[in-house]
Amino acid sequence: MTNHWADLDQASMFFVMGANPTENHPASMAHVNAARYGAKKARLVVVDPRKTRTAVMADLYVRIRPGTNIAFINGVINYILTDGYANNATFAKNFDDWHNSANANFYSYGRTFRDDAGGTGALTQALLDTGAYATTGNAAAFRADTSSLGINRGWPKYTDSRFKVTSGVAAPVDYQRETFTVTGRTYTGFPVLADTIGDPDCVMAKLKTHVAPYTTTVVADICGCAPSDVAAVAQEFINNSRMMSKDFAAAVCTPWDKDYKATTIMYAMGITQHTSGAQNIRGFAILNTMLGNMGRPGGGINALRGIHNVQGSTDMGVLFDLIPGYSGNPGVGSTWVGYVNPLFGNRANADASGGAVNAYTASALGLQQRGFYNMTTTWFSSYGTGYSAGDIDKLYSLWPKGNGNDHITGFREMIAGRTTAAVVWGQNPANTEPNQSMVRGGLEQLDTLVVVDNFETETAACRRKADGVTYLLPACSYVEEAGSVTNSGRWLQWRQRARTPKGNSKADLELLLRLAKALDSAGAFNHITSVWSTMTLKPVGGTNAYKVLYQDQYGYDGVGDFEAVSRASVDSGTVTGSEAVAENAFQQMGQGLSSGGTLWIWTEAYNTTTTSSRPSNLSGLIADEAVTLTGTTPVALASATIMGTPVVRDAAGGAGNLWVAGVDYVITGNTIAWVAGSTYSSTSTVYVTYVKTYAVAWATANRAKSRNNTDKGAALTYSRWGYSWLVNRRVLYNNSEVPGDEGDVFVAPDVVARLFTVHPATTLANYAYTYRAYNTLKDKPTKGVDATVGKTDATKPHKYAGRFPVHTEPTETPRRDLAHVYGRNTALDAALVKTDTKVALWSSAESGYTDPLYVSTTGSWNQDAKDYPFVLTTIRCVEHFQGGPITRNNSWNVEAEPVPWIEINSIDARNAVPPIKDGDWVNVITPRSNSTSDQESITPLLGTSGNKTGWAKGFKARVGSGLQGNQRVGVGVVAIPWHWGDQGLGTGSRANDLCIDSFDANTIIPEYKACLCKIVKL
Amino acid sequence: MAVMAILQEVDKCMRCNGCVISCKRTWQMKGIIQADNKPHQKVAYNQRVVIKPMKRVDNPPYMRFSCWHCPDPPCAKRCPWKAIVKDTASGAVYIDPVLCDPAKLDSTGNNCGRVCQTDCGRGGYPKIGAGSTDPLYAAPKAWKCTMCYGRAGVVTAAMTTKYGFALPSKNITAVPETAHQPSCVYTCPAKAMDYDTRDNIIAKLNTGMTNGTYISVLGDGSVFWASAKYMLIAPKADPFMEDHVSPMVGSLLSGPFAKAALVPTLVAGGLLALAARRAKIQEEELVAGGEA
Repeated sequence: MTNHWADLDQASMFFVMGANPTENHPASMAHVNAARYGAKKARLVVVDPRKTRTAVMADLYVRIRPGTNIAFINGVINYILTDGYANNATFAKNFDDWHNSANANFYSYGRTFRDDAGGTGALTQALLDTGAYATTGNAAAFRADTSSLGINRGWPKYTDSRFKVTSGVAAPVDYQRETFTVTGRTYTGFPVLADTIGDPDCVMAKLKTHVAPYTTTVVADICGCAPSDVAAVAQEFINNSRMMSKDFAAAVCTPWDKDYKATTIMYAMGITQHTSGAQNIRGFAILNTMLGNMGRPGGGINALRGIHNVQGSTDMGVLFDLIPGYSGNPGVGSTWVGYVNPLFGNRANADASGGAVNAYTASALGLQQRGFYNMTTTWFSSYGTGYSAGDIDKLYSLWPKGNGNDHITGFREMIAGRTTAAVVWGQNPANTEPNQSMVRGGLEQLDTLVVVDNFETETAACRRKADGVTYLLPACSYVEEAGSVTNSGRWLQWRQRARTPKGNSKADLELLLRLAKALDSAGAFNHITSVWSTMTLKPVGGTNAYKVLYQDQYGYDGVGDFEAVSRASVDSGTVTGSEAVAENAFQQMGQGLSSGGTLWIWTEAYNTTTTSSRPSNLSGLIADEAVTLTGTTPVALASATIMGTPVVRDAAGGAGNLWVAGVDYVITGNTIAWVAGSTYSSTSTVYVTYVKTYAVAWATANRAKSRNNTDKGAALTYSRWGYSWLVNRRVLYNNSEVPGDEGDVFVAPDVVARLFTVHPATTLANYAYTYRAYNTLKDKPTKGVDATVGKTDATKPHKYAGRFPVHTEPTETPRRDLAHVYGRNTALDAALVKTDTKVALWSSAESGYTDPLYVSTTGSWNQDAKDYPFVLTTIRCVEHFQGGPITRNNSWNVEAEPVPWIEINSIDARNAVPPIKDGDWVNVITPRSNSTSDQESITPLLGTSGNKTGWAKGFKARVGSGLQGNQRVGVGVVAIPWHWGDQGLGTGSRANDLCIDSFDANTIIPEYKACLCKIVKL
Repeated sequence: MAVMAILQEVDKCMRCNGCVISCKRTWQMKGIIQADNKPHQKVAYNQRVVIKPMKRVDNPPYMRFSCWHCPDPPCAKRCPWKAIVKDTASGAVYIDPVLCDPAKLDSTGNNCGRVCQTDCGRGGYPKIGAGSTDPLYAAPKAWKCTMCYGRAGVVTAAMTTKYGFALPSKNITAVPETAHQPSCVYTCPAKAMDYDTRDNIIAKLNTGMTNGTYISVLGDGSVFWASAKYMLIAPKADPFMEDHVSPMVGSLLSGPFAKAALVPTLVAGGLLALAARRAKIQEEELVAGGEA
């Protein structure tokens, strides 16, 4: 979430697409209700293939065909830019003012840039006005012509809509660039700005052209909705945009006002689980950026996370391509310098190649770079800053290099025998992964399978080869162990344990450390100790890898009584067991970079006092003061009672900077000075914003434990409840508009939030080296889409899907005609489905087109899609959770929903042969599996060679009744929940045996939400 | 101690069944797994509170079905063992599981005849069976919503031991009794329910009807409903049945065949409800016997 849960109270419209919060995120509805039934009378708009229980409560509901999200969003954007703009004078004027930076609150000067020689200098309005910039012969390139609007304009703070892209190219890949010299410094690669968004070369003009073909009629055909639906949703967006808000032009937003307008977009798996998943979300980003809803309370783009700690798991790098802190894996053959330099870093120490002057010196590194330094020294040695370059290189050599297998490839690797052992920790892939025959086929071939769970899950009970061994380690439940979790709103919150683990079950931390100890005893860490023996500076604590890397850091010896581990809590009392070990780990991550903190986005999450070193969101006295700094000489601020760390800027009215407290400048008492060695020392005048009074501190030194709910702040930021990364910012991209929240600095390291992502992103490094390549998208539609939808022009392919999203059909689609026009999504020309996956195809005779409609697959599995007339989409219910190990072992939940069902439209049910009545059992069949005999044939009865039978009874029909608009699913679509399996108190057919494992190329998320099937009454 | 009441703002309810599960946990109810339940049916028969749609399809408004805690409850008057008590202090109608004994015979050899069920004018809320894992319910007893009497309202050491500590509430200063919210109100993720004094609830309803916040309010005793969107119909029918009769009556009254259809509909609906409940009770006692 760019915003957070409590912030939902401040929205004036909820746009829910591909999510069902009433059933899947019920706690969010308290906030939605507060906004809907409060003074704001917020609107709830739902767009979904299924009329969910959220949709039935909505003010406006639109049904679309599964997998057509981009077409709908592009249609909405198009309507807003054409009819919506034309028919609403207030909106049109404010829209232009906003994008043209016609108000001083919409732009900023005063950014610090690296010049071509590697030095840094601030570019202020005054410097740019000296005329030096004009020597390039393009005086209007950086700022607008002052004569036309009578105003000097700097960088747009929120959007690159006015940036010019390469002229005369059908598919431009970069902004126009300029080089200029000012005060002796030469800067290359500065993007050129258009005077207004009327310029045909600017990003906004390109967006207009791009979405123009998505007229309401075209969208209605693709999505299966009415043309007026697109217009109605667009009108809701217009009415609830920043342009229509009472505080439109204000410097500080006023979300408490009943005429405050902001739209929040809430989405979940209905959006991401498509081959176009990442592109769907880019559509949201464009829409809400264009309407000024980003960085606003009650606005933003909010992913409703599926589990309480999904956000935490991505922060921790529990993905095949990331290490903690959103850094990519160190690459095969990479060097320390090569890896560290592209990370977010300390600008003051940059060299011309875009990295640190001395990448081996801890004090020269900042942010993500320093976090990686701390991770390397802490996790492969004992933390310290005195390592020589040679020692650092040796420690770097210990990092595992390259990505692991993604979760689809991983099971294929097991089948091929290249992966022979797996540890499945708190997950149930034999139920939750699509195309189960491949998953179970992989698990079967493993030599060793270790499952760590509360219950004997489907995975723990899956079929294994004759000499394969399965271990089930008894993990305790989440209420029996302590630690921090990070919620959807990026809030770290400590979870106390209610009791010690029951019976023989053990905390995850104990199991993990015992496993490490056993690995150490078996010699698995010998490569580490042998590297240590060659280092100049040896790790503190000896030569035993377990002792140095685990016992000394987390307190547990790996064999003894886990409950005997204890420490004095930083807050009060003595804590034991998982409370103690978790606090040790939390301290290591969150104690701040200069103290060795390993997670750069958590700096200050753990502190030694409850006093804040950050400004509160108090609406109290805030001072904004100009201070003249000279080198490292401390200069006193006017107030002797400053609280927290001031925000330091280099221009009045600027929206933040890239300096970092403690790295670039230091505050001591009420004085401020540059840090010795900082190249900022040439800057003389800075502006310091600080809080003069500060009554409310954190409740705890461990910020995750803080439960201060009295300091909610004017904008409901609750900045002393838990801790929110980055640096406790509650609303991302807020550009200092949110009273009390931190102004945005790091996440949009460049001057703007982008509509336009460049590929390859490295070209941006010329002027903003903190901009990283992680914005590169890896997917690519198979068809080029020209300005005229319906025609294919091979000469104008959308090579770079990262620019603006285009509609693509799901891998299995009932609309072969549309697949012919729009194509499907792929991964840089590779298919998004493994060749051993059985997929439904339209034969060329059936499709009427000679060109291939889909990648060819091998064997005789290919089916004619006309045999599979229904789109199958998977859903969740409120009573069950994910793959079901917890809720299907709870009799109350099973009582409420004992068996899986299928939702069918009444017309489809009546036309089925034989007709399907409410309550009938229905077999669902895809090219991959059926929901009865196929499932039972791959599900073993433990202890025998036979199969477990009788549990896969298909799905119980829930046939719609009444008006079509009131039915759960439309004609041609069926929906089934996927929580069931063969284990637990409540059993039933698995949905994921049926689903296809094609995936989004960026995230490797499978297309659970759209495949083809047929249904037969049992 | 003031007379307390629950108000459900039905527009906010999303039928997540959080209140149902919370109630079952609080009162140590058994989870009864019916492998072959009726389609759309989320109603097991051993519940104290049920959330059901007012209409016959699974669409809003979703209404809370539970004992209304009548001001003058007929069930209390008819119980021969005086096991059903109207607590005038809190407003709660509760059943004493020690006194309640459907199998007990009086001096003439008759049992109670389960009159609390048949005499309930609000849809038959008391249920008889072994509904809890509490040893008090080893033999079938009557039970129903008690507004968490013993948990909500009066706090005694014995009750704290049995039902846990008071739950936090934002309203403690104004109304100390809200320190012990009923578990359903406390749990509701949508914050669709209020727990306050009956006087405050009624004042809120009156204000809401006057200033246009609500267009329809309903209720009596200690349970009330309000809506800004829907004309509410009292959920009178048997909570065992997914489709209750009231909306059918409402639609027929306005239809062309109203008079002709009304009587048979009522009769048929009543018979259906009665038959369904009988069947469930028998089934449930079989379960109870089997488990005992």
